[in-house]
Amino acid sequence: MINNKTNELNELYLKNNIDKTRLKANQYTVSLLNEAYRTKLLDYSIISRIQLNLMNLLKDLILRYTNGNSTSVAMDTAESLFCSLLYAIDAFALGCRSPEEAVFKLKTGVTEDIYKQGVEQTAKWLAETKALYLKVRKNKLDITLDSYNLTLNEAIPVFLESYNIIFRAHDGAGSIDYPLVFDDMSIQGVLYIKNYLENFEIETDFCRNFKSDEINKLLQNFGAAMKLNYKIELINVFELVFNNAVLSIMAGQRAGNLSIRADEFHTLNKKLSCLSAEGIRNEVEQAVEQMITRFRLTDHRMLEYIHRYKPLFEERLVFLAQNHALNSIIITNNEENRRKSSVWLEVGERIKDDDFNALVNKLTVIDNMEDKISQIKTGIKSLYDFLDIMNSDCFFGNEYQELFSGLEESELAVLAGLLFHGELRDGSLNLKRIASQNKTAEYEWQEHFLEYLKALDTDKLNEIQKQAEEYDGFE
Amino acid sequence: MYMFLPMLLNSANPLLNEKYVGILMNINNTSRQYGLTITAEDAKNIVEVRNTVLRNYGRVDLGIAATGEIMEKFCTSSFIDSGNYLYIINEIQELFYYLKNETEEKIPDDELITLLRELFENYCWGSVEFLKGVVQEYAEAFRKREQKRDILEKGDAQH
Repeated sequence: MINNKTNELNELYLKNNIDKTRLKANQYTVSLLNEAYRTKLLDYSIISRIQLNLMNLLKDLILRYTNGNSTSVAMDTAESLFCSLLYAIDAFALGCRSPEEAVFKLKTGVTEDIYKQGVEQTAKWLAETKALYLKVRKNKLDITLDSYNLTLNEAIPVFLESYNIIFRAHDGAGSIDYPLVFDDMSIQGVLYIKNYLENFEIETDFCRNFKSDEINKLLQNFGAAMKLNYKIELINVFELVFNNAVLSIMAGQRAGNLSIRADEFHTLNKKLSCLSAEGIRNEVEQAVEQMITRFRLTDHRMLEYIHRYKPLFEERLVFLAQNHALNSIIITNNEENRRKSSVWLEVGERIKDDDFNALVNKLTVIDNMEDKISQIKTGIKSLYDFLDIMNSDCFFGNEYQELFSGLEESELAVLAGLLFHGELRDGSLNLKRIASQNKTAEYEWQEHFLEYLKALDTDKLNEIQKQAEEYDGFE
Repeated sequence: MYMFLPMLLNSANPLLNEKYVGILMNINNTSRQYGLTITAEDAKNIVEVRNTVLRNYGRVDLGIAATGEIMEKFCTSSFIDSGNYLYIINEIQELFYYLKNETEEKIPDDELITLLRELFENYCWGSVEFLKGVVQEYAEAFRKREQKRDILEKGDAQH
């Protein structure tokens, strides 16, 4: 019997017809069965038998899902359960030494046992991912980037805690916002998180070659250059750090530096604008090698990652050099020019929910507008809390106009910058023109703000616009 | 493969349907004592109606147990005779899956079938039309109750 099985497996290996490029990491089993059918490794009757076995497994899963109370479920629930079931079968099949072996086992094995082994494999992946998460979290960067911190501190632990191996194994984490340079979205379930964390770890390890202060300064400079609140933007730190680290070497500094002065930018701009595409690539190659040597980077995964990213960086640099737009990739140190914001509308720490609700309750019963403004200014420090207050039905009738009248020009500039972020960013902000148009707004406060702007004189509008343009990304 | 799931799951798989017909025919052993039996044609018709109802309501049922239980519980009704047996079973199947959707599987199959039997027998006096209206009202009341409970639970969670 054993000999028969071995012979059959050997035969499958010898046929070796499976075209691996036709197999999908996502929906592996389905693509494998299709490919096995196409190459005549499996005939229709066997495929039908495997399908029927899967249906029986699904039947049991539906009963488990409904605690034995219902033999039927809504179609989308059944589809989701079926995907979860196939995820476990995929886990099993991916664990086989080869696609041929997976086909052989699917053909000859007991589907129920295969499913159980797949569930065990998924549990193993989950345990590995949890261990990896703890390691990554321990080594996280101390940077003021919301998406980075929230993804690591909240989204991933919530996913790991709530991940359901049996009923929703194929589910990924929906609230992972922090973008990686390389993120394979075609992978599903816990394997996606595992892959995400592996790349996150490489990117973070690379960035740890630089001081957190330096990285934060770079982020601030980037925010100021792009006129955006970098803290809430979806920025990839690795990309920013890698680019400036390499560019600073190309600007003549020693490896390990992130800041580029204005005079260095001009020299580098001139140099790159004169070089051919090939010349730019050579410069990048040399700078990257210098950086690798300086940091003694030997981990093959990191080197692979760097060499995978490098051509993307080169192409972007060549394109920007040819189009005289290097200022969008070379982040200069504009500390001297950056003014410190004195406005109360900082992107500061948000208050607790209870305190926020208490403040809203208080504001609703206060009649005097001056008192209301004073309560707001002493109660909150975050622009986002202020926006939430404005959306909490605390103001009635003309109170919005009074509220805006009670704000400093710099504070109005922050609101204008927020509302017309697109125009501000591409340099086309014209508050006078906006005030003369009948623009529609998404929220009630925005409508009142537009009304308020309409009533202002040109000098005041120009001053608000100037301050909005100068405002350094809500530092 | 996922795309064909509805077809695959509720499907008109001839072998499966044949198996279901056999299971339903076996219920004659119980129903016969109440003067009710179905032919193979009737059983085929019940399975076909079940498949259509499931498709129309967007549900998946990988067995015939619910239909079997409906037949077993309703064959004892004093309002059912050989003339309306098939019609009533088919109508009850539809009401059953309608209620499964409306109650989002929160009521177990056997409880739901018992409820339908009670309403049919003691409240609607064997009128399927009347029962349809009552079931609709029941579904609406159930939904409202669930909504209220959700709101209260959310409120508790916020506090």
